[in-house]
Amino acid sequence: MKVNLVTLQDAQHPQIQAQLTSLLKTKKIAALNGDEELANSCWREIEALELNIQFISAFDKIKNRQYREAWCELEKCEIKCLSLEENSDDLFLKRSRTSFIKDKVAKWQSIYPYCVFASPGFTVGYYSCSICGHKIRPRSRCEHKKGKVYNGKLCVHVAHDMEFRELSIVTNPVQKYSVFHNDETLDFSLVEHLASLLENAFENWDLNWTRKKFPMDRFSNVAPSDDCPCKSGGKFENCCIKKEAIDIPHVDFILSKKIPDEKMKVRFPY
Amino acid sequence: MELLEIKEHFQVQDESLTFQELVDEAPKIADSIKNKNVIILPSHGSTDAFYSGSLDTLDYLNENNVNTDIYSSDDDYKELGLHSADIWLGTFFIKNIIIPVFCGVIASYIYEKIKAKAGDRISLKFIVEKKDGKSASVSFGGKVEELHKALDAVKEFSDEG
Repeated sequence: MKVNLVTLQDAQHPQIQAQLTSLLKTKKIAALNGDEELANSCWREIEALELNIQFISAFDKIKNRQYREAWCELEKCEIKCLSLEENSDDLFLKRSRTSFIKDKVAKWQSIYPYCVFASPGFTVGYYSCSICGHKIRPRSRCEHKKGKVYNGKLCVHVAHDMEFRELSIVTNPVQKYSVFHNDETLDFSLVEHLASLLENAFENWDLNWTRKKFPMDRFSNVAPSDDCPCKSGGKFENCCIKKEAIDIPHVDFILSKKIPDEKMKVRFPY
Repeated sequence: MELLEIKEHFQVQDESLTFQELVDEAPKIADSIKNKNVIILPSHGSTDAFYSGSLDTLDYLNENNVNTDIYSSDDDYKELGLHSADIWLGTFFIKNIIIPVFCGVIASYIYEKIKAKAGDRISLKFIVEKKDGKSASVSFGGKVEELHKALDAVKEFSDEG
């Protein structure tokens, strides 16, 4: 990348857009000429560039407290990382920051408060191959493998004759867009705190989930019928209510730079 | 999330279904399935739909020397797209002779191909042909790290008598 692609301003730089346009053009010509290696190489570069831009956009939205929008961008990043991993070597994944982004997307997602999702169930009449249009049947396949790139195009199986069956509430969805929460009722403190420590999307950081004890008086606003702060899944009155201190989940953020003292303090209840 | 917490399900019980009955009840595909060692059956309370990814499972088993087919004609085959990331592998009818190989290959499929990791939830059912021609089923739904219970139970039928 000729522009140092780090910020939203970098992502919007005309040179980046020109680079994308040039790659798309090269890919198209290579595909027409049957130069599959070049077409696939262009596909990788385009996907990686778009991935970087999406990740920067997600980080920018987190900084601006647009948490739901950022969540959807992170999900797009996750999907792109999977396709790139399937079609690239380790060197490319590292050079293109795909490995870094994959690691950080999962960690950002882990500190979001979302835990319930709507999940539609369908029956699918049949799938066809996005490359050659072949109707995929149990005893009839084409030469293309789902998830692989052919002549600059990703092979996916396209669903046909779909019929809606049910809508389920799940904690572990395939796609994470359909969040089943009202953001106004949720606590984004962890996301907000981490964002306040980072200058840009590509600053390195890590996290470590542990547990930490807090004295009972810190939990005076928890009603006996509330869920127990220890996250056992039980009610407070049946769990830790008689203890002197409660052991709750705690997360440490690990950064390589020095953190200002006021941001080093433990933020209860985390 | 106590409300949505799903308890582990692990059950071994006798079944009345035999391989010959499967063949007899499906004349359209009888020729295709009669010499197979594993048949993937419809799932999720359905009589005609298969879990999403069943054809990937079918291909993986065949590529790894487990002679497998789907219990449906090409015309009738349809899939259920359930959009939870839980792993729903479906129901497998397994001939006794292939049990040891099948257990190894299906474990590789789960851990290496679909890259299940600790904490992932998995649901599947094996109907195993016993040496006396009768059958038994092993059902499992729970965390993938506990799946060995089901595979061990299936292997025990291979060691019978």
